[in-house]
Amino acid sequence: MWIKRLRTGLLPACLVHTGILLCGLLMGIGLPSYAGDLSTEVRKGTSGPDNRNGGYFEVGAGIATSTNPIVGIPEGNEKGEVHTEVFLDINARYQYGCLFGELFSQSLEQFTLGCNFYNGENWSLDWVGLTQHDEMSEEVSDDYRGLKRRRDDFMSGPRATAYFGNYIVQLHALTDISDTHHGELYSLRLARHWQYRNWTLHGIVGATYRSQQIMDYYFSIDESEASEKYPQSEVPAGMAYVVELGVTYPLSEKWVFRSFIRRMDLESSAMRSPLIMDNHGEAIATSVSYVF
Amino acid sequence: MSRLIQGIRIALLLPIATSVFAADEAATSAVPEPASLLLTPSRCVALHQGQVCYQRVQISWSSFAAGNYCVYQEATPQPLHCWQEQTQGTFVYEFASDSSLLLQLKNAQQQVVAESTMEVAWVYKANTRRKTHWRLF
Repeated sequence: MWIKRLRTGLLPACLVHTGILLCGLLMGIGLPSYAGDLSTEVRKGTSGPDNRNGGYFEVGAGIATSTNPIVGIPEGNEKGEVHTEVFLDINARYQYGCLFGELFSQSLEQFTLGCNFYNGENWSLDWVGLTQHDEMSEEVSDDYRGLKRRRDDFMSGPRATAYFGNYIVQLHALTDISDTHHGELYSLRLARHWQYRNWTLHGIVGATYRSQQIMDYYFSIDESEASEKYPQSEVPAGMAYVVELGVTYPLSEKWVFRSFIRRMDLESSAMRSPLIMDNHGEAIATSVSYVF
Repeated sequence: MSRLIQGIRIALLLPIATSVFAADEAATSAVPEPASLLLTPSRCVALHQGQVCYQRVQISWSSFAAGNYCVYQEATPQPLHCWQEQTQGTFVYEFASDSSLLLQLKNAQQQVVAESTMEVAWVYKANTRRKTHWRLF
């Protein structure tokens, strides 16, 4: 699904890959939305929950450079290969009552649907649902020829977000509800923002746990599909970690500049899979967006 | 032809007459001398509402009458900068505020002779904090 999106040009390949594979699969960062997506909130320098009815929309363009440790993304990807692409930058959120939907191209998450059902002074609780892992099949990349189709999933569960001054902490606990792999994913992220003149600087660190079912479904190679290129393998449950630093600057009341650098690291056990070429990936992106 | 010339004479004389009357009026009512205060830029944009906005602002002023002038931030007793026996002046001001501010040019008699507002704008509105509550829909 992410890959399809990438190919249709809705989202940048680099960021989609990053968001999905690096952030999603690898980092396990691709989770739900926040009381505002964590990546969005920290870039705004937010210091409290915002759950008003209504929404906002931003659109822009950017350029991103990344490396991706996953085979096939993009097609023909090799270990350590650097990919540079122009991308469409979209940042949108709409809420009505408890229901909301949010999308941010540069987020660690994908398009997220949810219901906000608790708001405290400094924290909020949502129930969210989103795709965490994209389809891997020969329809999306020739590199997967000969492998069984791995469907994209849809995971759902609670998301808690807490605000402590300039810090934001977010927890996710997701379960597959799409009858794809029946796996579970848990993530914890800490974000912080600083202000230097009119620049908002942010940092994010996070860890994601993916259960055996998830890793096995997407990255293990079973006997029936094993080949010389993709030998049989079994990948255990594992952790992924992310670190991100970035800046946001208001060029005017309507134009915003953003830039970030992100690195994701995988547990070494993930490299038992022939579909994972490296234990880390990086992304650097810069964009300018118009705020409606 | 003569009517055209007459019309041109009137048109040329009218502004002079108007300015003379204006000067008389100013003198009789003791209104401070005309002056101007220019801020460049006059707008500071922060990322979100409530955030302190920083902007280096060039403040320029001019007056018809030479004198002692100071630029003040509204409701602040200390001047930002002063000049002696000048008809104009310029200085750079490091603006830092989370809201718009009025800057004023005052003469030696502490009369405001010109003023201009440094506006603070933002991209995102401040979050609305709701009271603690549960909700289903």
